[in-house]
Amino acid sequence: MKKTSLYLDPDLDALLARRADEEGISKAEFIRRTLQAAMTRPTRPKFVGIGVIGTPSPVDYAISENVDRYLTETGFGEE
Amino acid sequence: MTVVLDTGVVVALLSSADPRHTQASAWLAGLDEDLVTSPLALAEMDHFAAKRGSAEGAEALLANIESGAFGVRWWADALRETIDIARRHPFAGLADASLVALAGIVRTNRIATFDQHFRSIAPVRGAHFVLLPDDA
Repeated sequence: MKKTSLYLDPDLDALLARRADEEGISKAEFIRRTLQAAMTRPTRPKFVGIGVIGTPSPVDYAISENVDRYLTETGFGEE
Repeated sequence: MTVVLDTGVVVALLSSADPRHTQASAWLAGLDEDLVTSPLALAEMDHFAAKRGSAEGAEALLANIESGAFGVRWWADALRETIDIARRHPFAGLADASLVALAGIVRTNRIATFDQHFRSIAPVRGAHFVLLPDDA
């Protein structure tokens, strides 16, 4: 393994030591596992339904650029 | 870094007829960051899906929330922080104010929106907001 030094806030250092102790591992091992988890986190799930609303817009302006206007005209919060 | 998600970009993504649809879709396809929004903006998205959308549009919104395609976040001080921001920027409204507060919580100045109001609001972090996809 490659040796690395870093500065930690004393409060964070104490928290790391406590969590490592709770899990029965060294602080270094806890930091390694935490960093590994951060680097291997799952990718964001794919956004589904792109273009699923295919009917023509009922208004003569871009709703995406005028959300507040559209919400007002369609009674947002009134039902 | 995380990108805060405003209603207008979800509108553009779901609606093939929206003038911003192609731009928003292309931007999302190349995005490698997490997306997160607030419950107030989510209510706007839900209203849009119900009014403008088909059943498929409403279901797509639910599926994206459920899968984590974008997160929805609220926290203990969210209401206080949202009110403070809304008072400083009365033109913004509570939903937009909640997104500004959320950006502070997730430590970003990147927001997916077509609402140019965000150019005149100072984020908690950074000198100004980066509006995506326009500023990408």
